[in-house]
Order: sequence, then structure tokens, then C-alpha cells
Amino acid sequence: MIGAARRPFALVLGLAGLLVSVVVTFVTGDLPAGGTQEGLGVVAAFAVAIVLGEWFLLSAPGFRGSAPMAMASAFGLALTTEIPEGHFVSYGAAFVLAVSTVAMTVGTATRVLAGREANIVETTGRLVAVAVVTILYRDVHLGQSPGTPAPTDGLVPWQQAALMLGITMLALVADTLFTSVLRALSATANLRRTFVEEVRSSFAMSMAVAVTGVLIALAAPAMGIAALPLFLMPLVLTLFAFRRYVSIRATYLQSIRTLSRLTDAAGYTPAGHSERVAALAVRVGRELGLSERELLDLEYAALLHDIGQVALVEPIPGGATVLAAPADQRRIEADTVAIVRETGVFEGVAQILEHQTTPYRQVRELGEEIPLTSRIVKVVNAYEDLTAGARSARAREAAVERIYLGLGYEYDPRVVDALLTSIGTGADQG
Amino acid sequence: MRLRAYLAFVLLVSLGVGAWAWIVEGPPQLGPLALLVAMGVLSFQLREPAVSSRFGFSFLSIILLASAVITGVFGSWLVGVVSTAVDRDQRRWSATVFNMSMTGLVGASGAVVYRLVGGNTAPDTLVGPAELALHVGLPLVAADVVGCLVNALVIAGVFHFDQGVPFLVLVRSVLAGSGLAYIGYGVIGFLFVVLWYPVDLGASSALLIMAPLLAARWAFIQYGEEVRSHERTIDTLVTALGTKEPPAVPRSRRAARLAEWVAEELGLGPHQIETVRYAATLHEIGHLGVPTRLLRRAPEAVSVAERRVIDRHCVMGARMIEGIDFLEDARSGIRHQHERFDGGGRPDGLVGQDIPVAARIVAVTSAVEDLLEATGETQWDTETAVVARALQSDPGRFDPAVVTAVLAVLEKHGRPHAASTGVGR
Repeated sequence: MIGAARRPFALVLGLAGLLVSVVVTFVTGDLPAGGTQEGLGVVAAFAVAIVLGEWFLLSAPGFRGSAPMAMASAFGLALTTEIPEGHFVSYGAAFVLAVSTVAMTVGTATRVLAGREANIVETTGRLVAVAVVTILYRDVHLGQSPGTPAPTDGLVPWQQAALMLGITMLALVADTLFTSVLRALSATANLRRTFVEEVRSSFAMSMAVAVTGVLIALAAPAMGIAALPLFLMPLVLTLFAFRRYVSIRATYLQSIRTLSRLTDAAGYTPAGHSERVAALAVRVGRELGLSERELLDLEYAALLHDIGQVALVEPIPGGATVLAAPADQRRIEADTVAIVRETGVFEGVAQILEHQTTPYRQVRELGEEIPLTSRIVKVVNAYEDLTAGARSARAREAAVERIYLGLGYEYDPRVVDALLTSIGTGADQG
Repeated sequence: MRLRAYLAFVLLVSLGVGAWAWIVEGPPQLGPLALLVAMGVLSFQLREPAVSSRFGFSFLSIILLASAVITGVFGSWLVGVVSTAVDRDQRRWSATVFNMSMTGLVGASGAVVYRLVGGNTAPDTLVGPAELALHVGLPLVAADVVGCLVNALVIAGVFHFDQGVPFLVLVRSVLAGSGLAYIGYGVIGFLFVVLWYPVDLGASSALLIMAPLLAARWAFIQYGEEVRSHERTIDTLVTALGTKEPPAVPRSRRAARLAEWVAEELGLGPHQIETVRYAATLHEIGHLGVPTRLLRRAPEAVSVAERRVIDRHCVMGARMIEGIDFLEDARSGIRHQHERFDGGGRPDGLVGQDIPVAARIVAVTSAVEDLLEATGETQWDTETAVVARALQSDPGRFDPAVVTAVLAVLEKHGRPHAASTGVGR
């Protein structure tokens, strides 16, 4: 239950932001002046865009969730002070913040009510960013007083653009910092690593969001509120493309599953062998403290480790490569690697498979570099081949005994230790 | 020969349009022109190589659209011509010259249309969404649509003359592959113009518009990546099969080539053509489940019982690739490849049009493949005659429409070669 503690904290903070901004708006009287119809229309359009943006979240396993449309719209709302024919909007920072927070709350609440996933930490992070932009631009830079049109800053367009861009970038950093701190507090990860990882995974999208927000505000004096949907278009395209991106990853996953089943279907390996090796390898990898990324590669490698057997004229009895002659093992390995390389996207997996039969001795005596993940596949595969799917204590003991014979020569003792821990838990004690 | 004539024709038309624009308009402003050319070159270098089986896309179209307003007809023509002049991947100079002529034409035609429908060429003073939409937006939409059509028609012409594929099938396939995206991304061209003039950012708008452009590029790349992920999955499966049975690889490639031609000849839609190609490429994937010693034995030496084991491969093959979503439609094409048109086939005894079209095509193309392999390299005329006679000797086995189509494409294209059927020209 990672993050059990940070959720309520983020929720409280988000709701506090909502409350404070609304109260301050009314206390300071920071409302669009009566009779300015355009101003109200503009705000309503932005609010709708933010709600929609919160509804159409980008999220997928292994990704930092984001709401590019909502963020860009909120930035646009914060930065827009002028609309066509020389009109200036007459609301200030407090009103902008109140509108943004209400709209974000509505969007998120609808999502939750509809039974979709919503991440309160990420939503609050976005709120932080919007607050930073609004306060820095309207209060610090323009010095706008509540309820009055913003004064002009006298900058030429490109200077304005640069300033706005700087402010939005700062805000995005604040957002990332906020979510990283919360994440680092509850998870075992350290803050710096989490922050760097978050920045890396969201940098491109954040740039697009920041620039879009700025462009909406810059174009508003010429195009009015039409600037909002038009400049959001590219982001909407990326929203659709993101679905595609997710489906691409699904395709590769499906092809891995299919390939891993090929040897079963063709009768080269016992049914479910690759799946069992994969499940156990991941447990062993976890035991040895591998990162999530390495674990993913390890899982794929384990699923595919026997695919090279399809080249055999006669199947090995029981598909147990551990019993095959070393030269045959290496030929199967080479075929396996060639097939995996053909995918063009699993270089990491191919590298693991390249060393799956190399004896551990070569690390010790010749100083050869063999990835830990390869050593894991080797040990786990041997164990699975030797137990042949049997789960009894006797089969397990026999297999472990055989592996012990090759300890330090064939197999890495550290991995074997981790294997023993992995199989010792889970099943009945043997 | 006709291809050469066509290429020369495109080149001449393009040069003529360029010269005409220079005479009518005079030299364009150098500063904006240089900037747009630079952006054009950049976007062409950043292009996505070949998104579907044949057509590439770059956001050069967006730059051309902006040039239509900013630099005029001659300027757009020049941006188009210069942007595609530097091409690292293209080894043949004729292809580069063709690309230059074509993008020049696309640029110029867009700019001409923009002016014809009343587009404003110096929209500094326009204010408000209505005015901008009327004097810049709508004319740009017209220019975009025309540019897209010119692009599709000229490209389709090349493949028509080069490979004899029916012209309309090609146009449809180009438009289905990138047409909508091409027009949709045109909005960014409009935004570029708005930032340049009414917002008064001038040249610095080029820097800011890069963000939406790159976002759009990422979105478009995903389209290409999706296609590529499919090709890679197929290639991997074929490689796996080839590890067991090496001759199966070129055979699959040839079968896919031939099946694709037939599907085009029958006028199937782009999605169906893909399905047929997948099914044909993977029609023997079930051999992975057949004992190698049976596969290596000569056809005469196989007993009836063993024959049945081998023939089970289509059912096994269809089952093997279960779970890969994009191959869902192709599976039935693999499963039913041994059905007979008159209903006497395996595994389900389907009749006539109940047999999936992919299966009907694969049935014929794999038979043709066997025949061509058996006859070896002899006189092509006699070969086709042999094929025709063999296919017609057993009425009821094949779909007559497919047989007619296969004979027509063999006539037109000759022997299919094992060239990669996938990405790349």
C-alpha cells in the first residue's frame, strides 16, 4: 500500500486550496465587474476546458499521470489579461485561482464518481503549478489589484512570451517537486532519484503544455476565446496518440506472450514452462533488489528464453535445456537472441538472453561481464527444468541438490540464495 | 518508360509553375523566406520515414501552409523545393528531384488557392476571431485540402506507373494513410500565421510554434510506430518460423507480395488489404507445430495420415497467434486457407463467400507459389500458362474471382520477388 499516508495529505491540501481561493475571492471582491459579458464568457470557456482536461487524463502503467489539456487551459486563464478590441478582463489572481480549483475539483470528482481512476496527489500537484503561475504573473509581475483590469507591463510581444514561458516552467518544476516529495515520503525511493525520473518522463509533455498555455494568452488579444480551442488542438491530438502509444506497448507485450507460447504449442517445452520461469525469475529479481525497469526486461527475457528451441529437429526430452549438451545450449541461445533481436525493440532483453547459458565460472575466473539478470534466468531455468513443474517438496529438494552441485561453477551463489528464499516462502516448507 | 515520362512531366509542370510565380510576383522577402526554408529543411529531416507500407509524412505540409501566407506563391514553391533537396536516405537522384518537384507543386498550389479564395496576404490589421477565420482561416483550409489532394495524386501517379497498381486504389490508400492527419495538422499552420501577424511575434513565432509542431509530430509518429510494431511482430514470427524452416521465409514474403497485389486488384479497402497481407505472410506459421522431419520429407513420401498432421498446421497457426489484437482478422484467413470454394474443404467445410476473403486469396496464392516453385525458372509465358491451367483444372477448389485476379496480376507484375513486403519503398 504505497502512498497510504500521502493521499489524505494531498487531499487536505487540495481542498484547503479550493476553500482559501474561493473565500479570498469573495472577501477581496475580486469578481468580474458587472456588465462585462465578454469577461464572463472567457472564464466560462476556460472552466469548461479545464473540467474536460481533468476528465481526459493521460495515464498508463509506468507513467506519470498528467492532464495536459487542463494544465494548458489553466495556464492560459492565468496569463490572459486582454481580449479583442482592447478589452481587459477585470478579475485578478484570487478569482482565477478559484475558477481553476473549482473546475479541477469538478473534473476530478466526476471521474471518481464515474468509477475511473483519479490520483489526488497528481491533481493537487497541478493545483500547485496553477497557483504559482497565477500569483507570480498577476500579483508579482503585473501587480494587479483585485477586481480591476490588469495594468500593461509595456513589454514587446517576444519579451512577454519569454517571461510567461519562464513562469510556467517554474510552475511545472514546482508541480514535479511537490509530487516527488510526496512520493519520496511514502515510498522507499529517495527524493533526488524520484525527481529526476519524474522530470525525465514528463519533460516533453510539460514543454508542450507550458508553451500552449502561453500561446493561448498571447493570441487572446487578437483571436479572443477562439484561441483556446485552436491552440489546444495539438494537445488533443497527442491525447489520441497516447492511446495509440499504449496500444503499441500492448502489441509488443502480446507478441512476447505469443512467442513465449510458441514452444509450448509446438511441443518443445512443457506447457506453461516460460510463464513459470518468468514468475519465479521476477520474484528472485525482486529479492536481489532490481529496479522496476530491470524486472520488466527480466520478465520478458524469461518468457522468451526458450524460443530458440523451435530450430531443433527433435525436441529435447521435456524441453529441459539444462540437460542438453553445452554446445546445443549455446546454439539454442543464439537462435533465441536472433529472434528477439528481430523485434527491434527489446535490445535489453536480447542482452540478457545472450548470456543465459554462460557458466558463472567465467565471471569469477575470466572476469567476464555477465548481467545479474542473465544469471537469474540461468538459475531459475535450471530449477524449473529440474522440477519439471512438480511442486512437491521432494522434487524441489532434488532440484536444489542438483543446482548445489554446480554452485560457483555453473551458478551464481548469490542468485541461488535468492532462489532458495523465494521458493522457501510461498509454498509449504521442505 | 512511362514512369520516366511521368517523372519528366511532373518536373516540367513544377518548373513552369515556379517560373510563372516568379514572373507574376517578383522576388519574395528574403528574411521570412530564409526562416521558412530553414524550418522546412528541419521538418523534412525530422520526418517520419514511411508510416504505412508506402507513404511518409512530415510536418513540412504545415510549413508550406504558413509560407503560402507569409512568403507568397513563389516563396512557397521555393520552400517546398529546397526543403526536400537534402535527403540523406535517398540514394537515387531521380527520386530526390521528383520529391522536390512535388513539394514545390504542393506549396505553390496551396498558395495560389489561398489567394483565389480571398485569403489576406498581410493580415496585420485583422482583429477578432470572425475576421481572422474569414480572411485567413477558411482560405487556409481550402489551400490545405488542395495541397493534400495534389500530394496524393502526384504520389499515386508514381506508384501507378511504376508498379501498375490501379490509380484510384492508390489515391484512396494515400488519403486513408495520411490525408486526415495532413488536413488536421493544417490548423497549426493557421496558428503560425496568427502568431506571426496579428499577435505580432514575427519571426520569434517560429520558435514558439515548434512546441505544437513537435507535439503533433509525436502524435503522428505514434501512428507510424503502430504500423511498425505490427510489421516487427510479423517479422519476428516469420523469423521464428525461419529458424525452424529456412525456406519458409522467402516463401512467406513472396506469398505476401502476391496476395497484396491480388487484394489491390480486387479493389479491397486498405484495412482488408492489410489483413490479407498479414494472413499471407503468416499462412505457414503453424508449421512451427509440425514435426520437422515431416516438413523436410518430399511431398510424394508423405503418407495420408502424415498429410493430415501437416494440414492441421492452419488450425494450429491460427491458434498460435491468438491474443495478438491486430492479427485477429488475419487469423480466420489462416485457419480457412484449405477450404474449398464448393464446400468440400477443411477444417470447417465453409462454402463460397462464407470463406473469409483473406482465406480465399491465400488459398490461391499459396497454390501459385507451389506451382512456380515446381516449374523453376523457365520461360515466363509458359509458366503463367501452367499456372492458369492448373488453377482452372479443379473448378470448385478456388474462388473464380480470385483466380481471375491472380492471373491478371501475374500478367501485370511478373513473378513476385521475396523483397521485403514491409516498411520501405
